[in-house]
Amino acid sequence: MQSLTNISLKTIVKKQVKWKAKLYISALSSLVIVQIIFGLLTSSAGSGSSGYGGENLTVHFSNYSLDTFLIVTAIWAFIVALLFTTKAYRIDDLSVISSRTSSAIANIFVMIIYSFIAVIIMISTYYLQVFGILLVEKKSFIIEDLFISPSILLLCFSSVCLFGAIGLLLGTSFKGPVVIKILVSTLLLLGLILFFMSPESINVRSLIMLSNLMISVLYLLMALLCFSLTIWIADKAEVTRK
Amino acid sequence: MKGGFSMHVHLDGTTPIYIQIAEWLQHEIIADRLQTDAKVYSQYQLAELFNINPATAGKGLTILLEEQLLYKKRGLGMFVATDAKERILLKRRNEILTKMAQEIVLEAKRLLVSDEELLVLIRKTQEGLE
Amino acid sequence: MNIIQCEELSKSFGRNALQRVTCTIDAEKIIGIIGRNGAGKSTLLNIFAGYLKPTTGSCKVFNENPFNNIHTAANMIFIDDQLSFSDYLSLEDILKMGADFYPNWQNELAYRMLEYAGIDLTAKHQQLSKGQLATFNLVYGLVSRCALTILDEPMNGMDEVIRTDFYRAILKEYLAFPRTFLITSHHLQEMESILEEIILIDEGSIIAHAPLDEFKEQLISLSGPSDALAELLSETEVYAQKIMAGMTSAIIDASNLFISEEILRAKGITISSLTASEVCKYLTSKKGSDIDAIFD
Repeated sequence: MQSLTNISLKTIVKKQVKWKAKLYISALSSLVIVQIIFGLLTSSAGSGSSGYGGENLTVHFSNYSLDTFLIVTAIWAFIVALLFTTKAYRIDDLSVISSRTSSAIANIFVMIIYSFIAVIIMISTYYLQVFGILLVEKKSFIIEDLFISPSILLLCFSSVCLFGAIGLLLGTSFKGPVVIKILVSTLLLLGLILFFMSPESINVRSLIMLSNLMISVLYLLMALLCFSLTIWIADKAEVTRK
Repeated sequence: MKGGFSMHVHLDGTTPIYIQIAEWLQHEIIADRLQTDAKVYSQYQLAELFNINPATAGKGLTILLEEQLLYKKRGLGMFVATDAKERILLKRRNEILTKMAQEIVLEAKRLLVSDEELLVLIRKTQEGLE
Repeated sequence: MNIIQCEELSKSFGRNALQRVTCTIDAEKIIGIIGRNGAGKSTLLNIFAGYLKPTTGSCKVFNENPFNNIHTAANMIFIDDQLSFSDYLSLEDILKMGADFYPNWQNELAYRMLEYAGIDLTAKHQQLSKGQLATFNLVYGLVSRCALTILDEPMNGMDEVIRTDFYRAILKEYLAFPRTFLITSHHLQEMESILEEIILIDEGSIIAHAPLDEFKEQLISLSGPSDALAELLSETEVYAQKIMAGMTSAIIDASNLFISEEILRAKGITISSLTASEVCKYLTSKKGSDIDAIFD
């Protein structure tokens, strides 16, 4: 008999990541569009405002606010992650060599890569807004305003990653009618935003004296937990094609 | 892609395909298209020729092998046995014609045709074919 | 050498889809899997593919549990009308992707087959007509040259000419690169000549698994004067019979029949064999019932 093919999980995951990252690129372009829209909306409120009238959100370190962009990106990551786990995408995985495990791992890597790129897009649109405002209001720019510290960047990345991870986990756990999924997910999403990005939680956090860096690490660990759970759940799942 | 399946195998369900293959091969031998010691088609060639599964073709070849109408040369394939043609003709005469004779006689009886009338009919048919 | 072994395999989703199925499937054979809708064919194939888990019992493919198994997936491909690809891929891209994953992929052959079928490679998978889709999916499955190739109603939607061509394509590919083909179809008569074995599934169980010729020889049709046949019929299992004007024709189990043809002919009874489809039909229909009864 012909000898059987022996391919390692690692090779398959790499291939899946390569193809998924290429294919889902439209998701990134949707982010760009959404960011620009939000950027335009909030910039009309003028500089120096957080856009909500309330106290500091997570990232407000200068006259210009990164908050909006971060929230938008986090929500985007959550929704994209949910979409990755819908039936249409899952069924596509069956058309190539894959297992539930390899697909789950591949989705996770793609999510991480996209989170990284999303943060870059986020920062870029932020700068666009800043320069836009500067041009319009004919102010001269202050270097400090433009400098975003690495710890802030890490915080952004880890927040986006976390929201993406939660999205993947939710999408993988709920295999039911899409409507229910959307309902439950929206509720959870709102809850998450309130929890992570509301003024109260920020105050609590500053009470515990956690630096941005530590929060980042915490978020990343939580994301890792979500990813592990996602793989664990995916392993057990049967596939229904119809 | 088209072309190459010039032979038609009857799938009317009355004769198993492997038997049809065996009979076709015997026919080829009688007709001298497969001569003594000539290499016979392999099961794969037959499969492609008749658009059938090679295992089925193989079964047909095996029948002839068991009747020693073919012999096998290890690694080289199957070949026509020396007296294959004569033995096939003998066999056919015995089996087929006997069976046909039985049928014709039975049918004639059923149709109330007398023995003499039947013989006349056979003679006429022979003359017609000459 | 067998590649699939099932032992008391059962699967239920609320209802019992498969009941204690035990079978072995050999390597490098073309096997037809026949059964009515809802008989359990697709469920069984989905378990072989590693998509579903048995409820009880076991299934081994290439000596391993196929569920969520990357080694099984690397040597298996499942083609049906649910095969889907990303909206952003043209057919040409899909072929590139296939080539990237499947080590035995024959891209050249795929191009030639699709050109023959008149399918434009710049089109998207979603834009194809039903027949073109079936053709493309089948080509995808054939050129992947996986040791276990499962084709679930692959010809659905194809017109007759293309179907004939592609049954031949399956045979030729099998001859060029032997592998196990498991093909389900509702058109057994079209597919029969290329099959080596047949597995008949009914109501969640395998009721027959044999080489095609043996399978066909299970049942025979007898017809003749009713009185001559009566005695015979009492000695063996009768699957169907029709009585009209003193003549009976019946489908019976041939395994218990030890009378020679000559004797039967002398009694005025004719024997004829059945096509594989007919044998399937009789083996799976409820004994003694037929559509006419509804109208009587």
